[in-house]
Amino acid sequence: MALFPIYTIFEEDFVVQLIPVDTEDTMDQVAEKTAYHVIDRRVKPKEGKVLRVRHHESGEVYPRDMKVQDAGWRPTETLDIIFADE
Amino acid sequence: MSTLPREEWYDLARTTNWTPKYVSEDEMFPEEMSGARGISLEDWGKYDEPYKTTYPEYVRIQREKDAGAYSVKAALERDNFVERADPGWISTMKAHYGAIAVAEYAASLAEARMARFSKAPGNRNMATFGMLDETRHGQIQLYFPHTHVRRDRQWDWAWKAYHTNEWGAIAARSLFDDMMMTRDAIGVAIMLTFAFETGFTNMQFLGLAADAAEAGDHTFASLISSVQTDEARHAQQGGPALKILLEHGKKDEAQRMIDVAIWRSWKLFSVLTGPIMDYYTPLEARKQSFKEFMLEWIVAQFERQLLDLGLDKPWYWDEFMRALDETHHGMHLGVWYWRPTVWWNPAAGVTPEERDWLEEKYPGWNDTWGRCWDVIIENLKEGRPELTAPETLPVICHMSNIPIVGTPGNGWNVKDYTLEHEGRLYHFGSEPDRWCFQVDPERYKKQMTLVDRFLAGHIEPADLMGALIYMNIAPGETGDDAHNYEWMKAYMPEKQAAE
Amino acid sequence: MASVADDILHNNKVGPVLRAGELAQAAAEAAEIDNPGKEVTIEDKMAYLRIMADDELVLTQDTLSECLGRDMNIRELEVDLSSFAGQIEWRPDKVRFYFEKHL
Repeated sequence: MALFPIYTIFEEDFVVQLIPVDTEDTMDQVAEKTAYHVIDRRVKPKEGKVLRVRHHESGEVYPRDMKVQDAGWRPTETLDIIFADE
Repeated sequence: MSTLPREEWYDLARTTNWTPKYVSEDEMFPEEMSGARGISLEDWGKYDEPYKTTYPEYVRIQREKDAGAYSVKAALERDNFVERADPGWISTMKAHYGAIAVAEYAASLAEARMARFSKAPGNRNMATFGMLDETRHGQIQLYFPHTHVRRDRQWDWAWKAYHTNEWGAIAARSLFDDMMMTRDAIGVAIMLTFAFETGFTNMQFLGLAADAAEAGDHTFASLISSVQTDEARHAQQGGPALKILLEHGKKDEAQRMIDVAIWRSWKLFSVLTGPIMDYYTPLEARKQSFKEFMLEWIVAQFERQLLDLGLDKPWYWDEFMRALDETHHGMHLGVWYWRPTVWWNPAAGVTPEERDWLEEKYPGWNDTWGRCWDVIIENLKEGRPELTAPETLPVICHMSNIPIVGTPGNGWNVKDYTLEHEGRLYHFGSEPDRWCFQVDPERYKKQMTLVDRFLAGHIEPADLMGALIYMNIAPGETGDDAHNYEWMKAYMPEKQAAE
Repeated sequence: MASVADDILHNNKVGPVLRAGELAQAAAEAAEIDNPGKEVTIEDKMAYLRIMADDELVLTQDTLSECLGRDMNIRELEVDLSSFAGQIEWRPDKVRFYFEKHL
């Protein structure tokens, strides 16, 4: 367990933000921690959609239960948080 | 006693490239300070400044300029404009003075570098006056806001801003250090006097003066447009330096310096001037949109002059023109959302009438930035102001030192441009920002953005309070909505009717 | 946007931008007299006046003095000359704004 800083861009938001996550967090938790700083602040929630974590540059979408420590990220890696059907 | 007219003695009097006897030419003009770029002293002697002046002329004209600006101030003092001015306009002045006044002294040092180290005698002569000009700009732009320090502490930031680690101050310092303080004499002539002063200062000192006059602030309009008359003269040092570089086959290097200076200046103006012109200035006083001012001053005037001198449009032209529609809207939203971290009170500028204006000037605004503002407005309406305040940091660009932003809503295109250099991961707000870094990584690689400093533990406690302490923002200085959310009334018809 | 901007970029307008005041008014008048046969355009932005003509625009000391109603030295123009389009050339009795290349 260790604090791990990532940079995230939330779909339909206007800015990149610093989000401190934990190496033990799953992708769903990463999405949730980002959503806290965006949803109902500058972006409305979307009913029936789930949030997925996507690598900003490669476009790779990570499995929802994958842990941060297994994703091979560098500190301050840039990720998109996107709305998806599943 | 009759005296010779200037044109009969000027050239001879300033032909001062004598042959040094006691030191070598390299000792007198070290390359790292002079930046002669292999061009001989003799060839630099051919530098022909189009705007010539002499000391007696300078003193006479400057006296008249000062008499004008100070007398307007004195005459209007009793009018007490500031007392009744729109709070958005007050914020405009606070942002302006903090971002500009002390930087003028840095510009004076840059002029001093040319005055001492340029190998072109004409450059040395004109820079001596330029040095005095910039001292005037520092003094006058501190003196005017000083009148208002008794009103509230934010006015004190006219002096204080550059002495802090406030993020906007870091960004401004980064740009001005790059153009003014860390370049050789010819670099200063090209990047500061040509790119910045022939180009961008017109936006802040004339475009904004047009808004000021419309807003009824004749003191400010007179002051800043008077400052710009000095710029119009001393900015003419860059053109002849460019001509010499071009004659000696150094077009690529000149073009590169200009492209870097234009892009970096543009980014600072997107966070400073953009929000001021399109959001803080009261609607009825907006002479033109920020984009229209950019097209007038930067495209039609400055870039056109660039072509005339034999240079090209910057390679990032298309991206630049695209950004004129976008970047400053994101900067404004960011500054407003992170408003406790600035020394002025940002005006939201999003009443229904203002949104109509924004939609007209920037078609699609409501479907993009408007979408974020919809959520903010909803929160203010429903009594959830805490959701309109930040709880984390925006990521800061390693070149511009301002947040990385893009278009939200239906036009979502936020992009982070990364670069791994010597094992460190850098983040940039655009391709040209990343390119500026790649042109000269040694120059920029050690810069730590505010987020880097946060992650390195420089900011404690690691929260907003810690960040405010780090940025030297004292109680009474933190920014809040300029109109104290009064503008929200327009969105609460029921309540208004009940009152 | 880039094509609109290119149209704006490809202009040949040169001339002074003067702070609002009597000098600016005089210069606007003088520009008509000193540049016969040229179409002189004036844009009034309240705080400043933009005086423009294609390719070249000249202002002479004599005409300026006449329009101002008093003798002035051409160098006094600097007091209100905040900016200008094109390149500049100062002569003892006149100032010239110009482009080298017509686009």
